[in-house]
Amino acid sequence: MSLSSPDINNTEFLFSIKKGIARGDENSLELLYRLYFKKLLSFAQTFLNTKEVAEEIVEDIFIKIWAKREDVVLIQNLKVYLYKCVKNAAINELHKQANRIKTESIDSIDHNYHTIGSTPIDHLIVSEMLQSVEITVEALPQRCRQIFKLIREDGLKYKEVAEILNISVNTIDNQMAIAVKRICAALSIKKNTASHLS
Amino acid sequence: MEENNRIWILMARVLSNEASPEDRSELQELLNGDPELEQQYNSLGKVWHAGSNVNSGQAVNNDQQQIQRIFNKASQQRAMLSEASTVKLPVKPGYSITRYARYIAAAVLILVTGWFFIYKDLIVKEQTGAKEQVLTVKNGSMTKLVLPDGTQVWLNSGSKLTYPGSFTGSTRNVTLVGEAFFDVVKDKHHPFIVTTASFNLKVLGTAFNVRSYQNDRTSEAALVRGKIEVTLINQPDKKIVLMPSEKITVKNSYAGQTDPGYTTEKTDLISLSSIHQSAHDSLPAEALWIENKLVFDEEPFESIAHKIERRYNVSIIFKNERIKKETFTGKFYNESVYKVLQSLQTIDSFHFNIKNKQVTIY
Repeated sequence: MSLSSPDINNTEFLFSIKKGIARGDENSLELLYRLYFKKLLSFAQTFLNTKEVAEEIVEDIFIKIWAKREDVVLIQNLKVYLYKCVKNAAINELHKQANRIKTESIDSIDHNYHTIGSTPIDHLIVSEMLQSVEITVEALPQRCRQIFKLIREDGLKYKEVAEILNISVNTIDNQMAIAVKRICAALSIKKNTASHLS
Repeated sequence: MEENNRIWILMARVLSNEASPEDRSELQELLNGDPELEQQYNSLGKVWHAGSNVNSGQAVNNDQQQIQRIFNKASQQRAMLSEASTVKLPVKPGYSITRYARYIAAAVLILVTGWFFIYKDLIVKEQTGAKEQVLTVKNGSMTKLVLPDGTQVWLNSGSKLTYPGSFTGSTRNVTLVGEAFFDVVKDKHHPFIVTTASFNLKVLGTAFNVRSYQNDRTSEAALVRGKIEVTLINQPDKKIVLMPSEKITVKNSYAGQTDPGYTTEKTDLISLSSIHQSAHDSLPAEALWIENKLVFDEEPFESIAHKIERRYNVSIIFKNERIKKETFTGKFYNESVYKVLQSLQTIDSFHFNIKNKQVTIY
């Protein structure tokens, strides 16, 4: 199964992975792991600050899925399910630790971005802007950053994020607005009516 | 504040591909009044997509050690899970004998005084074994029951289930004519066996649908959850294991012998297929009848007619041979026979006539 062609957000594709897992096909689980592990790890890290703990949590989820693989057919939306599991496990872990969440430092950013610049000059400019964006994103308030990353980096839909985090689509609209506004400001985009900026 | 937020909300929606056509035109209008902003919004767009991981379906994580660790730990967990059902509760040491003595004495007392009343029942049990129960459901209705072990059974129209008063012995046996949906209580040491005229099903703890009516051409078993082993009555050495979402269809060897267009074959025709479940339904198509829905999935009219007969308690006669073999797909909930037939008419033309409980198709 080639990895570059299928649309990983395609429900049919996820469905065939799901069926493969239920039948005990190891390749299917491995595929699911390769496609989602890093994203789920990233998501877990928006809750927790230690990478090791976050990694263990995500590993446990894949272990459980394989251990009870026959039951996987009962899951309607595998992708949303994975994210929800991570969220629940991360929150449980937080309760255990009873620590306050620290904002991640810039150093721990996962540099996973693929730049798509057409000309070399384009590439340079885009790369500079990207850094600006990264810095701004990491400085966002926790919830806002979490939502923004799920939508932009992981390509989840508003509805899916709403289900995973148990919030309304309205909230997502507002949080995304905050993020976009700040990013634009960081990229020195000024509105004409500057006096209205808060 | 509200109006100023609007442009950011719209920008976010468009960049995330969540915008409606109205959103897009609204944003365009807002940007039209500010060409500088529009240009910068376009560059924002370039940065946005450049930095997103969305289309990186490439193998982003290929840690072989990690994946191996996952498989190994999962095997361990599986081993523990299957053991759990056989683990016996440890007998706690240290209970004082005097405490038990009280209970034992009381039990003996009850036994002695109650002997008269239970003696008669015991005699009956000895002679007939655990009392056999038969539940018959007429056409036009449906019922649900709970078996002595807690297994839930939904019985469809025109079906008959035979089961014992209590499950003794090494297996739990029931006999079915017709259609039922089973949600079996897990008991690894006492396999649940469903006997029909066409096949026997051995299950461990699962949810599945069985359809084996005498006047149908085929019988089928569809598995929702768990695992079942199917043995054909006519070929007892042939065993087929079903996995979740799989369905087995067997041609009934006694069906259609009076039908001139039906060739009799010695061997049973078996086919394995997938069950369909749409995202909106809680159950696969094969089992939706327990929610009182009439469902057929690429079924020939002849077979649909049987379903209609049982559900509405009518009888259907075909005066049109061609339409009998036409296939339809449909889902109905609480519709009248008239409405159902009307809907089918829109797909393929035929005429029908309903008089009392007699439906004629021509």
